[in-house]
Amino acid sequence: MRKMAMLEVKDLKVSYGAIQAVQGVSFRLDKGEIVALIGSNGAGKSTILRTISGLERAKGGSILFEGEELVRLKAHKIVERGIAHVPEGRRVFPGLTVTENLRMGANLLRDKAKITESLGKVFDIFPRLKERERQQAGTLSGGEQQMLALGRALMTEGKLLMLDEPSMGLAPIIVEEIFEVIKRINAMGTSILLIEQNAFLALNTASRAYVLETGKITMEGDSKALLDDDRVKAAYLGA
Amino acid sequence: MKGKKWIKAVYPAAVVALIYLLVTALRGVGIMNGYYNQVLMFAGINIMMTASLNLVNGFTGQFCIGHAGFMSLGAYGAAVVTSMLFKNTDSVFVFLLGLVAGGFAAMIAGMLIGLPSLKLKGDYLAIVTLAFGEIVRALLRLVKPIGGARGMIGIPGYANLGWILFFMALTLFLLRNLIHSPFGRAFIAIRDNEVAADAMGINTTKYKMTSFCIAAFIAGVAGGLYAHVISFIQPDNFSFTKSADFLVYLYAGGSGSLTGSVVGATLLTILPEFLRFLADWRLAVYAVILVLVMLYRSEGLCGGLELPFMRIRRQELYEEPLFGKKTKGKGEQA
Repeated sequence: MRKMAMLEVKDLKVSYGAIQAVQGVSFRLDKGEIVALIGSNGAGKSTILRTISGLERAKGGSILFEGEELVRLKAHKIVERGIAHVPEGRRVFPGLTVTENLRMGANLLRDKAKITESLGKVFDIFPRLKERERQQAGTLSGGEQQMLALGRALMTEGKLLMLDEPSMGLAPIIVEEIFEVIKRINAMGTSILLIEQNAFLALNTASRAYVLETGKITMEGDSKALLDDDRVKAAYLGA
Repeated sequence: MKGKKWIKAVYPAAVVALIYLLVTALRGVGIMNGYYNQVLMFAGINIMMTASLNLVNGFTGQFCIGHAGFMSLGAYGAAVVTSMLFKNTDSVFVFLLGLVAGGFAAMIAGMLIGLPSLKLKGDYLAIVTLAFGEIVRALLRLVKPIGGARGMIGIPGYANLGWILFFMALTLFLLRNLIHSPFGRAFIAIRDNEVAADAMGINTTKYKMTSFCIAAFIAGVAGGLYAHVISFIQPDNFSFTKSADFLVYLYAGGSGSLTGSVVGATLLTILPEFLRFLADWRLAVYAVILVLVMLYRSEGLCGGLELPFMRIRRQELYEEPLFGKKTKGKGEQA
């Protein structure tokens, strides 16, 4: 028998009114892995993440995190379980300073020493944020805001980090930097569930991947294998 | 450094005390008459209303458009205590008890309508509070023991400028410290991005309720003061027009700025009185002035700005907090 997955999604169904955005999706993520969900616009990738973190309600199916059912839990309870979500489009709090944004991420931690420690860790990973410590988050550049959103998610000290389109709207050089950091965070022991439209980038970062089309998983497997797959190449890599 | 901190803490209170002394002195030499005095009292009450509305609309990013409903509950609650329950006792404590009762009446109503509507994201609060204001008005007209549509008369005139300035200063002091506490940080996070706040593990419903109930309580106290200034209240005093007035004060002054609430409420309370010499043109000129404000200062007169003593510099927040416990690393009590 395989060991228990960290995150196991079974037959997940989510609808917006009459539209079924996710139609019975199943996938798993083991501890320490980077798993990517790739697919075009409207395939239901973000919906899946939003459902895992409790921002959407599932119509059916189950989401097991370390053996515990998440489907009926509220968003803030799910964060307590150790899942950090970086929502699409760099949703920082523009009215708060960089440090305050990071502290918002730690709002479930009680231990002061622990918060200071995580803060140090985040500043270590993103020295750029340290420089801008006291600046209002709304005045940061796009790349810096993405770093802040990532850093804020790290502050929750979660075991699983879910990233929704971290490359969106960023210059290629910044994207490269962000993905380097993602790999580093993974190497430090955090499992990562990654959503990306840029399939090439995602497949090069992740160890395994699932291909999503209009709410269903059509392909899955080792990312190296998917990179060589003709159908994936034709549909997502533009080859 | 110690002395500077002390001055910073006492400075706002000194300003308020100075206003009071100045007005008293002016009344003594006859420049200030009862009418001016009453306008100032209304300005103080309106500042309390606007600042509390600011907590919900400006800092927590919700949209309450029935704030006069809470004011009326507070006014009636306080008036019932002072002119019915303790009719024959003439004491400051009765007055204070009335104000607190009014505040709680408004806060309980806020809880009741907040619970269903603040669990949702979006504009539901606006719809519910709009209806709430009108329902309260309609219901109060039906309750015979408190005068029905005729209203309550003969409420003792306990409130004077001193009391109003005191409660106004207290409100601003509490709101300022609240906004710079971990609670305030959570409010601003919800305003800036509710989804992200949710994803960060902030119990958004809880914080929205907290902000809304505090605002309702302050509005109730302000209503209680109002009742004891004009000593006659009727349900139609607190119509939607009144709620709209507070919204105008808030947005003309600048939402998300306590200084803005003070400036907006003060100027726009005094302005229509000042314009009385224009007779029929008064409201037209008032409207034109508002349009000009919106054209040239679309964020409100003080949008994004705070006077030094209305602000705790966020940069200093983690090094040397001025009031209360250290916020450093405290985190939200989830």
